[in-house]
Amino acid sequence: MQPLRRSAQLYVMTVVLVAATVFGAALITAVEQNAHQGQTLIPVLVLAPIFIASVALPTRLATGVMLTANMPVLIAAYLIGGWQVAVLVAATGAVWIRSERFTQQVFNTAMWTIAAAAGGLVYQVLGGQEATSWGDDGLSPDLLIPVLVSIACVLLANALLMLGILRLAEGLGALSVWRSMVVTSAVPYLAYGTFGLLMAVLWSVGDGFAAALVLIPLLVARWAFAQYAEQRQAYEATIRSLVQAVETKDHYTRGHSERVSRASVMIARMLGMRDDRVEALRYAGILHDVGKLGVPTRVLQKTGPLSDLEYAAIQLHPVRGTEMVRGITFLEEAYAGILHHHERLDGRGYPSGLKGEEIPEFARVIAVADAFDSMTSTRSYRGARQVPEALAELQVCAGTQFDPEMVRALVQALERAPWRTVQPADIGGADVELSAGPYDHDDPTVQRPSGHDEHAATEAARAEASEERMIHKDALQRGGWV
Amino acid sequence: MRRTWTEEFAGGSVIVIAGGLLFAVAGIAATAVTGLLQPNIAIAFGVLIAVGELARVNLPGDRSAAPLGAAAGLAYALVGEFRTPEALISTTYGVMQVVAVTTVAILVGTLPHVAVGQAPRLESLARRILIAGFAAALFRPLYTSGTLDSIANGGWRLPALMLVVVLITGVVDGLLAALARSGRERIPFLAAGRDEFRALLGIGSAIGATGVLIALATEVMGYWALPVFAVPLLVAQFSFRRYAAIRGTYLQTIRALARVTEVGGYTESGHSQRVARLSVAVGRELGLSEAAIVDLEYAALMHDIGQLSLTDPIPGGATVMVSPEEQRRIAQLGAEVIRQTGVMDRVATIVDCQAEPYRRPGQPFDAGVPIASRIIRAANAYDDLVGGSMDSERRVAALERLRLGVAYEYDPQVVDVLTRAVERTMLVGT
Repeated sequence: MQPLRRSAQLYVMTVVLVAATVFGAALITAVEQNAHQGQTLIPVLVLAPIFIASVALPTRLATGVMLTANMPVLIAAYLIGGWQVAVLVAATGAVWIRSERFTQQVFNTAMWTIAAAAGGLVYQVLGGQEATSWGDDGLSPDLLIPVLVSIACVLLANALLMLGILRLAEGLGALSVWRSMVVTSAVPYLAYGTFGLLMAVLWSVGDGFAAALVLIPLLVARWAFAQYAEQRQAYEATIRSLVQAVETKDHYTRGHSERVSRASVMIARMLGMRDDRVEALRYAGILHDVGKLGVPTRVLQKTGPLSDLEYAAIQLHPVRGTEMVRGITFLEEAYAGILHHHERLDGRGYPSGLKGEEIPEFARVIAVADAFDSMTSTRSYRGARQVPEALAELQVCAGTQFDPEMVRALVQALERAPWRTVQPADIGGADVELSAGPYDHDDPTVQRPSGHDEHAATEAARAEASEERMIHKDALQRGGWV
Repeated sequence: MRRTWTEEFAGGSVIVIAGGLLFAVAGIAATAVTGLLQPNIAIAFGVLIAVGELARVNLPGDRSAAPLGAAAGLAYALVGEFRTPEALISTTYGVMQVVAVTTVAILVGTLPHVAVGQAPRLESLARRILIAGFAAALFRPLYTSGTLDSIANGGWRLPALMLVVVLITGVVDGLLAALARSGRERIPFLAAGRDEFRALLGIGSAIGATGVLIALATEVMGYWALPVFAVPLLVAQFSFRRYAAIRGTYLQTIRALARVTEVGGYTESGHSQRVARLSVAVGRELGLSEAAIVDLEYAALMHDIGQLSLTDPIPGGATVMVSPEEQRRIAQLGAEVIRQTGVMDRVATIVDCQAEPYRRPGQPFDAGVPIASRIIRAANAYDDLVGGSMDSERRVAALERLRLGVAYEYDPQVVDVLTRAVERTMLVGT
């Protein structure tokens, strides 16, 4: 990490100093209060471990939003035992400070401390009662205003402190931070607040023991989501390497599927497709050529011109591929993409000779991605073409062979993010020699296709795909500086 | 998926269903006689149970569950004080009313599923009724008799007691589930129990905690406690559903990709699926754990993937016909392909070892060969000999050949179980 600017350093120091003062004040009053009424120590002892655990283990909800239980625990703390308890609990977050990202974590701890104090004091000033005295007449509606206002204050304190640090240390615009902190996080914050309230409610009937139970469903949700994420990653890895293995076997187009998938996703994003459709399209791209396994290897590797019969065998591969993946239910829309990726807009494609809009959208996307990758990869009969050259060729064929909209989307996408030019690379692994067939049926400039070959470095593609895959969510929603 | 009556009532399921039915009838009859006490509370919980039943999910391992419904049932059994808008009241209803309300709510919540042709397993419904009744039987007499006032008064004692009730209930639920599953899928009871308890550890603890939380919070929040505490459980349920979905997709995809050998003309059509089905049946009966069964299924589906690396397909794809060296080479090539995924090392090992004979002459039994490999070896040999044929003479001849190979080629225990599994399908098939 880069060293902080002087102004940012000063800012962090000031915040830490304020937090330390607040902590000192809380400690002194808490000790007094505990001596008199004995209601401070136990909430701190119960809530501090929960707080530390929630700092250490953020919960990732299924939707990809990170949920840290820090704020709810702090809100619960002042509802249960007053602002002093909240401040003491917040300060225990310091236990989790590690040497990497040290400054951030120190700042976060200070920020939580101040936010907790702000919420707790506002609650007290507005006449909010501590949960230990709720039991007799239940949750009184009079508490609603203090609870809501104090939660808003926690949010506000958090947002303002973050605003400062992100502006000074990372140069983010105040407006964008404000928007992401306050506007988009207001609802989650209210949910957090409710959660804190629930812990307080349970405390009022069953002490800390009951309050701690609230965490179990959340921990279980977190565990299940982790299982899901792990399984998903395994799924990705499996499908990719199995498809690669299949490619290796037939001596053709190593890495082609990966890149077609990547280009298809670029086009789809440019078209503004829904996320789940992009996802299905990504898999359709990976799987679009699996049907080639049904084409006899002899035909795939043949160097001379193909007989009609052999050409017919090649034309069957989209059908075979679709047959194979038909059992995978979440790919339903992808079937059509795989089946029709060799159709042409003018109706001269295969297997069904569909025209124009009759061709499913997925198929029109894959057709362009497929041809593009084919042209920009090295062939034995020619070197890899440059990207602009390939795009020009696609534009020539747009309207007759390809959907102009898809071609345009690809051109636009490549203006934003350059295509990684693929170098021929030696692929280890299976003990099969890569043999070079002369022509590629995906190459639009080749009239009578008869063979396949391709060399590619797949690592780059794989890395990029995994970046895409990462559920990227605004760090600000975690309520801390990361 | 349609289930036949024999599947529905197989083995232990019938006991669980009968128990649930008995409970349900007794509960409704008793409640009809005494009348519904504190009907508003009953209706509130009934609605939550029904909603939970409506939001039923399939958890990993083909477990039909209604986490929210189960938690609401538990909560209804455990409610003590309840704050209605008017006053704080002590609940007075008994075990039979809990059973009756749960039963009716579950039936109501199930109706829409039945209407669209997705009836849940009777056994899982019966279990939810039994569980709510069981928890009520532990807790309600203690509470309504006033015994709790002296032993669990104040602070952490009441929640702790509820937690104990929930734990015992959980154990009973696990046993019931194991009883039903062991009968349905022919798994030894102990193995089924181990699987069920492992599955319960996750969602079960969330269900139990939510039940206790709702029951406790009604004292302060009244009716609000029901929807509010349902939310975290629904979040958990949602995560579980996605987990189950991705597992399902994974299996479908492996099935699809495993067909490359068939599409490529290396093996007979349907071979990998049949070997997988037979292997799983054998593995279950041998008591393999759920995780091991998943590995076994994947390995069985992909056991021939090494053939893709052969220059010339084996005639008919039957590896049982080629030399042991060739078999080993195919196994190794396949394992290598699978190992490259980086996440299926156990599966790769199973595929790798499938060509190992059970025992070599003059040498001791090699314990290093996974049981899954021995299962696949036998199932593959059987299917290579029989194929998709339903001809019973061919089957008997194939089984005969496996038996002859028991001394060295095949694991005798595996062949025994496999023979039984095949004979069962012969009775059904003919």
